[in-house]
Amino acid sequence: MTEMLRLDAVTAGYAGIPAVRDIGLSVASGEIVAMLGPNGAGKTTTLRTAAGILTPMTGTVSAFGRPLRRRLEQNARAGLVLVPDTRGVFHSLTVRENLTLARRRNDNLDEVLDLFPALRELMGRRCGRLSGGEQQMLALAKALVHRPRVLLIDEMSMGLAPVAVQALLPSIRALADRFSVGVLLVEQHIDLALSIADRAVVLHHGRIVLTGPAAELRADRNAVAEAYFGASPTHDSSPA
Amino acid sequence: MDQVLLFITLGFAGGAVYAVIAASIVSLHAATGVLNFAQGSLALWGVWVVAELRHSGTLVLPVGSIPLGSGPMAAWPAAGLGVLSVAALALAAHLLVFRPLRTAPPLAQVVASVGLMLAIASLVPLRFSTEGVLAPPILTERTLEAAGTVINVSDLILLATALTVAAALSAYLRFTRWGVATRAGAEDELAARLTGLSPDRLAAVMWLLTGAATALVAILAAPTLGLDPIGYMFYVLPGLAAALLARLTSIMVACLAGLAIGVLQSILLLLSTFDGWPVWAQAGLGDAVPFVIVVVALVILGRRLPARGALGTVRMPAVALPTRPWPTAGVLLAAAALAIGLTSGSWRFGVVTSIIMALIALSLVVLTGYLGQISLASMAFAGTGGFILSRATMAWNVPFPLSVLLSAGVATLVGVLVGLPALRVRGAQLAVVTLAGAVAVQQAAFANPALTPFEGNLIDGPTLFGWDLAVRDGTDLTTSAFAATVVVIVGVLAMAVVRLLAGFTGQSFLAVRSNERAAASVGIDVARVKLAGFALSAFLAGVGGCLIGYSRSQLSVESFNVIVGLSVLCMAYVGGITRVSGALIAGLIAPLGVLYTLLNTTLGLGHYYTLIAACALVLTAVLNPVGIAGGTSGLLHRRTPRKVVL
Repeated sequence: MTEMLRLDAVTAGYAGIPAVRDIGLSVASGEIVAMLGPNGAGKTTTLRTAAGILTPMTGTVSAFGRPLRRRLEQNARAGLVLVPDTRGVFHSLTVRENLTLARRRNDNLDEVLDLFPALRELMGRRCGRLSGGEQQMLALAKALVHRPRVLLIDEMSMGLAPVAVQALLPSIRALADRFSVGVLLVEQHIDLALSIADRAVVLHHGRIVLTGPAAELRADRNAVAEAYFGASPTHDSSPA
Repeated sequence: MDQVLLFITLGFAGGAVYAVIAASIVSLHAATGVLNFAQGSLALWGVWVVAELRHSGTLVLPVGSIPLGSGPMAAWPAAGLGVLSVAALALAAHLLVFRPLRTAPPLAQVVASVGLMLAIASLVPLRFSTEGVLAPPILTERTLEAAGTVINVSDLILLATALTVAAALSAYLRFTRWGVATRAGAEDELAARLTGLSPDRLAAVMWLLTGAATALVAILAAPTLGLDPIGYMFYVLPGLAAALLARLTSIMVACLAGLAIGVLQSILLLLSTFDGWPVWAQAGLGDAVPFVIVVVALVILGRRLPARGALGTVRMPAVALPTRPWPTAGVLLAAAALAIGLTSGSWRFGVVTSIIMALIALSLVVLTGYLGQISLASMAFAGTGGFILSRATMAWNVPFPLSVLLSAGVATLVGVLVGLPALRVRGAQLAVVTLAGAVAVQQAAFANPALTPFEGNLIDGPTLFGWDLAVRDGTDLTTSAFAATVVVIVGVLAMAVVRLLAGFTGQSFLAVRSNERAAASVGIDVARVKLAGFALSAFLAGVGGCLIGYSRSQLSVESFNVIVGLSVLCMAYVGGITRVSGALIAGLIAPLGVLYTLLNTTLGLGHYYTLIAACALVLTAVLNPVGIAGGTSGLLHRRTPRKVVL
């Protein structure tokens, strides 16, 4: 598997105050890395830094073997796509407009709609009138129309019913396998996230405190729970 | 019937300009979220560029000129250059002003937009020789006869052009990929960038298109509407009224509403010639039409409490509550006494004017800074006070200080009336309502010959227990007795306001400002608090207007015109609209105040005052959204955090 995204000893934050320190992780093509941790651990900050929204105070972020570009839209066009916790869909536009807005040459709209067939029925509906689950589907579909190489997904389950989450999360596994997309997934549903991920990292107080294969962490829930509640760092800043 | 048809078609020219301005405002709002008050000023600039090209062949730029031939330029090349010139100016406005402000509070955007409007309008008389220049026809001068009426073909062409331009803008936003992307970028800039779009570039395209569209119609209509060094700036009001009627969403509805306002004004002109038409309604009623339309539309379309998720539109800079008012008041009193004692003539007049204007700016600090209601009508409230004072002292012989209380009381009532729409209208839309209200009051009352005495609006000087407090004494332009009276009145009112803001009233204001729904949920009567804010603000401005009246001894419409009102808002914002100390700074830099005296008497730059003030406003909005008081306070108190309310 080719390495698509790499964070090396990244420290980042807001107004000069670090929120995450010495973060090192990487994501390969077709791989799902789950990023777990309690509220305020620094997951979203790490994701926003990986997407280029935040500039690291120290350390480097590189995508597809080269440092991130200065402009967000350039990174997006290169295939580094963030699905924010606010979903990043445009409520005043229809589903069709949301999807075609993101299209590039050689788009894969039909393939994406195969993955989310429910959207075919909603193409003319304004996005603001969709349910939360439908909006989340649209957010993923909109991201996939780009033919992304790396997807950064922030708390996709936020505000969704557990049933909807259970239906949506497996589709991320499917798209990683089908399109060879590398995924960095921030998620609060630990079991579900670990069930679809290849690897996982746990953040606490802005530092990675636990890393490992998802299957192993799923089997050792005590280690994850300890990490959630603040175990000592067991991780250096080289990419996990 | 033939007369009605004639006046309907005569309204097409003005209506076309309103329509294209309205369509441009809606388009820009859809693309950038900015409510552009400067759209009329862009039209003004284009009209004068073309007039100068057709007069001398010189292309006038905001800075410098380019001679393009030895004589006048032909009509269509000049019109083309005029359109390009305005498009470039609009693009510059986007790049230099609105792009840096894209994440700023709506108030900062409104203020920058007003600043740009004033800056362009004040540049016109400085850059063009506006005396005796005519706008020769560009379109055909042919006429046709229909239903017994002679109709100008040019009016029909203008109607068709406005409709076509609006339809083109609408189609661009609705059906083209760039247009859809532009709407997406306006809704959520970050999401658009994460989608691979460049909202900046898309917004720039929209500024170019709307600038060109507005200029095209205004330039074609100018020969019909005539050349005026400032008039086109106010075309933005009917344009904004039409845009608000369309709820800032439908370009075609905005266009049709603009046309309808133009036609309605023309019909009112016809009605005013009829015998039974009241004398008081013969002037200014047409200008009041947009205000009435805006108020009716917004009250019908608005909501008493904002919808869920709509609260972001009233985000404002942080407020810092005064911490040591009494020592500060002592220092300021001593400084005022010193300034009055050490000055004379125009300098003392400047000091006194600054103190009065600080009171009017304080009315804005209360209403806009603390209560979050963006009002552009402060000078209309002041004017109401001033003009009632004239009647009170000359016709009704009401003695001082009852005359001031009576006049400020009437201003308070007007404030409550203008504030009624605020119960359902918020943010930049309220700014439009209050500006339209200010223009309506100015044209229908202050400038109405039927309401002005033959000898003008004279004001008798104040006396108290036989003590003469009049402003002039022989050659003394401003007596120390009058200056002391002003200091006492302003000082007492300012301290009362500080006490009020520090108590429950201030907390209620801030609660409403922060979140109307949350304020209502804890038992605050939002409607009552808003009306109380308008009443307090109008009372302060009304007293300020009375003091201006006493200081001038005679009032004209120019004393309180809308431009002065906008300048005061500019000054209040530059000073720091969320701080009481900001009002003081606003007073110092207000029209005819200390800074103006310095520029006019010492540096000889009085002609550039409005331009300098407008540019300062735009710069402050871009660089320092909390104003000078906020900026300096931030520097002084960096080590000792103050009580700050978000």
